[in-house]
Amino acid sequence: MTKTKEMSRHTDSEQRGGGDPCAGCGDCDRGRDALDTRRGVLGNSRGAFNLWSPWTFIIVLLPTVFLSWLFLRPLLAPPLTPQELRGRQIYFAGTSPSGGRIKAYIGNDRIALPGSAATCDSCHGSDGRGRPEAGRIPSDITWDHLMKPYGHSHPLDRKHPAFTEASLKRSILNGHDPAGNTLDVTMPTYAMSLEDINDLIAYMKRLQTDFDPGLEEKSIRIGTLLPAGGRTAAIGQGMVEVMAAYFEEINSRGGIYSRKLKLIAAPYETTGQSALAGATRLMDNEDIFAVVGAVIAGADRQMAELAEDKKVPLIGPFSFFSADPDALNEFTFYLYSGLSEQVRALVDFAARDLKLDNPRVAVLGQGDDHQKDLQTAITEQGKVHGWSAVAGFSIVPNRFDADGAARAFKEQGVDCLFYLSFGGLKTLLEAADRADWRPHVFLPGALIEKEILELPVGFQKRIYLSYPTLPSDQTPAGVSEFQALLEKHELSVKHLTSQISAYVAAKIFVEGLKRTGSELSREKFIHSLEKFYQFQTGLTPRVTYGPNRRIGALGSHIVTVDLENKKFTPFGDWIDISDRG
Amino acid sequence: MIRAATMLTIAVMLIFSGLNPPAAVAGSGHGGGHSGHAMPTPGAATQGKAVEVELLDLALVDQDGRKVRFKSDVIGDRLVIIDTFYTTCDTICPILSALFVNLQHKLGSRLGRDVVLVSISVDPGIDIPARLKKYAKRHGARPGWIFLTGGKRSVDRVLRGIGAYVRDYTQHAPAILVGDGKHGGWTRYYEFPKPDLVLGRLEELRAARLAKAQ
Repeated sequence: MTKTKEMSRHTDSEQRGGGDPCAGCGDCDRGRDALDTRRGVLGNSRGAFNLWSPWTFIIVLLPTVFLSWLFLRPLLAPPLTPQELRGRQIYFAGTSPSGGRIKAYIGNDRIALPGSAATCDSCHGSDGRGRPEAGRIPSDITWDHLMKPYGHSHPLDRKHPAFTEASLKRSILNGHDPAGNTLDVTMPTYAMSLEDINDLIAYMKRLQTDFDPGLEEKSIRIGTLLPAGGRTAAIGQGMVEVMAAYFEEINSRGGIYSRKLKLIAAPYETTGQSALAGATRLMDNEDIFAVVGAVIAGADRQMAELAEDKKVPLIGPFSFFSADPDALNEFTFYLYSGLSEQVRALVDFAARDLKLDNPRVAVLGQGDDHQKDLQTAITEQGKVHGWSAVAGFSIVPNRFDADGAARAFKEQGVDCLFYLSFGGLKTLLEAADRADWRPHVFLPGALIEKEILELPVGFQKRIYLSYPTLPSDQTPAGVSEFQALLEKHELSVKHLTSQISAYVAAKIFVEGLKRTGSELSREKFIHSLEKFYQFQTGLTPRVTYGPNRRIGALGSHIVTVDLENKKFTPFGDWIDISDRG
Repeated sequence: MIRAATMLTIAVMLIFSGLNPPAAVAGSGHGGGHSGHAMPTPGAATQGKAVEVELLDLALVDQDGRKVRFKSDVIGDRLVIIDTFYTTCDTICPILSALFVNLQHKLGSRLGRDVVLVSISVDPGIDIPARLKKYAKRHGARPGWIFLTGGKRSVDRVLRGIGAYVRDYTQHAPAILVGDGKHGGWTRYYEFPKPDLVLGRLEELRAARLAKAQ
C-alpha cells in the first residue's frame, strides 16, 4: 500500500510541474515579445504616461487579455496544409515532394551528398530542438527560438540578430547567419528549388506544434487490439476493461503531464490475418500514439514488423513469439519471454541445474516454422553449454507410431526431449514407459494439455515446464492495488493471466510516459523505456529494457509436474538469460 | 559568454585527451582531436596529415557476427579506408557513412578486392553485430565494406592503435584514415574530405606499391 501512496504522490507533483502553462509552451516567448514591442513603440511616442489614462487599458489590460488568450488557446493547430506536408517530407526525408533535387553540401570542401544523407531531422530532431551528438550541439530551430527578437549567442562567441524568413532561407542555402558569420562546419548548405525552400519554411513554422500521431495538447490516444469472436472474445473484453479502468484512474488524478489517456479498442475476428488487418487500420486511421496490451498471438511476428514499419510503439502485446532478436525491432516492447526465450531458459536449466552434460537431444514438433525457430534456439543455447547433438523430428500428434519412436529414441540414446506440439505427449510417454525409455522432457507451459497430470509416474521429476510468470512474482502491494482497481470499477476476473498482462502493459506505458516528461514524442518515449531497469510491476517479474533489449522479463520460471500428487511444483530459481549476447 | 568559454575549455580538453601517442608523434597538432566545438578555419580545404598507426591484431566481430582479427583478417595486405561511428549517432556518423557510400560507388569492383572500407564502432557495448548489420543494410553496404565491433577492451585498443580513441564515444571526431595494410603510408583526414581527395591518396599508395614491386 505504501507503494501505491508513493506513486500517487509522485504523479501529483508531476502534474503541478506539467500543468504550469509556461513550462512547455513555446508560445509564451511570442507573447512576451509582442508585449515588449508595444511598450517600446508607446514609450517612444508618449514618454511617461498616467497610470489611469485610457492607455492603461491598451498597455496593461490588452496585453494581459492577449497573453491569457495565448495561454487558453489550445496549442493544437489545424492539420498541416498541403504545403506544410510537403515541407515535412523535406524536413524528415530530405527529398523533394515536387520531384526536384535536394542536395546537401558538407564540410569545408562542400562535398555534395543527397539531401537524404543529411536531413534536418537527423541533427535538429523531430521537435527541432537539436540533439547533442558526436560532440556537436545542433541549434534549436523551432520557429519561436529562431525569431527571438534579442537574437542568439552560439559557442565560440558567434552572435547574430534574430532570423527573418528571408535570412533563414539564406542561411539554409548559403550557410551564413543573419550577421554574416559562417555557420558551424557541420551544418550543411542545401541546394533546392524555390518551391522546396518555401515549403520547408512553411513546415518549420509548424514544427513545434506538429506532434507525433495520437498526441494532442490535452490528450494521448492509445490503441489496443482484441479478439471479438470465438472463445477468446471474453479474454479480449477482460483486458480492455482493465486497461480502460486503469487509464480512468490516471485521468482522474489529472492525467500524465495534463494529458488525458484515451483508449481506442479495435476488435478483430479470431484469425491472425484479421488481427493484422485490424492493426493496420488502427495504426493508419485512428491517429494513435502507441498500441498497448494488444492480443497479437497468431500474428506475433508480423505484428511486430508492422509496428516497426509504421513506427508505432507496441507495448506489452499478448504474444507467444517475440520478434526475431536479430531483426532488432525497435518499436515492440514485450513484457514476457516468448517461447524461443523460454526454451533457451530450459536449456540453461537442463545444463546448469540438472547438469545434463552434452545430452542427445530430440526436438519433436509439427515441422512448422515455430518448430524451426524453437529448434534453432535450442541448438544455439545448447552450444553455449557444449551440446552437440540436437536433432529435430516432425510428427503429427497421436498419429504416429509412438512405440516405434520410443524404441528408436532409446536405441539412439536420446536422453533429453523437447516436446513442442499441442497434445500427444501422453501417448508418447506411455509408449516410452513401456519401452523403459525415460528421458528428461522439457516443454513450454503454454503448450501443455490437461493430460500432463496423467503421464506415467515413471516420469516423476523428469518433466520440466517453462513459465514466463508465476503467482510468486506478485507482491502484496501489487495484488492489492490490482484488486482495488477491479473492485472500484466493478470488474470481474475473466481471465486473470491476460488481464494482468494488459494491466501491466498499461502500467509500463504510463511509467514510460512519466519518465519521458511533458515534451513527449515516440522517439523520446522509446528512449525512456530503454532505461527501465528492474522496474517493479507488482504482478510480474521485474522489467528491464535496454537499447538492445525488448523483453522485459528475459528468462523463465521452471515448474516440474508432480505426477504422484497430480500437481505442479515450482522448481529452483528464476532462470535469467539476459547474459547471452 | 560563460557557456561559450566553457565549451571552448571542453573543446581544448578534448583536443588533448583525444591526442594519443601515435598521432602525437606524427605531429597532427591542433587538428588532432578535432571534436567538441573546435572549428577548423572556415573555408580551409581539408588536408590529410601523415600519421603513424599501430595495427593491432586483436579479435573483433564483424556485422555478421564473425570473429575477425583486425590486422590479419580485416586489413591484410589491402588498401584501407577507415572511419569510426556508432549506430545510434544521428549527426556526424550518417554523413561520414554517406561519404563511404559515395566511395563505395566510386570504387566499384575494386571494393573488397584490393580496397576495403572499414567502419569501427566506438560504442561496442551497444553496437552488437545485429545493429551493425542493420546499419550496413540501411546504407546499402556491399561486401568489402566491413563494420566492426567486439569486446570493449579490444575495440578500444584497436582504436588507440589507429589514433581514434576518445573516452566519451559521443565526442568521437569525424575523421577518415587511409593507408596501405602492407606498406603503411597512413594519412588522416579530419572532418569530411572530398571523396576524390581520398581516392587520390589511394592512387598514390597504389603507385607506391607498384614502384616497390619493381
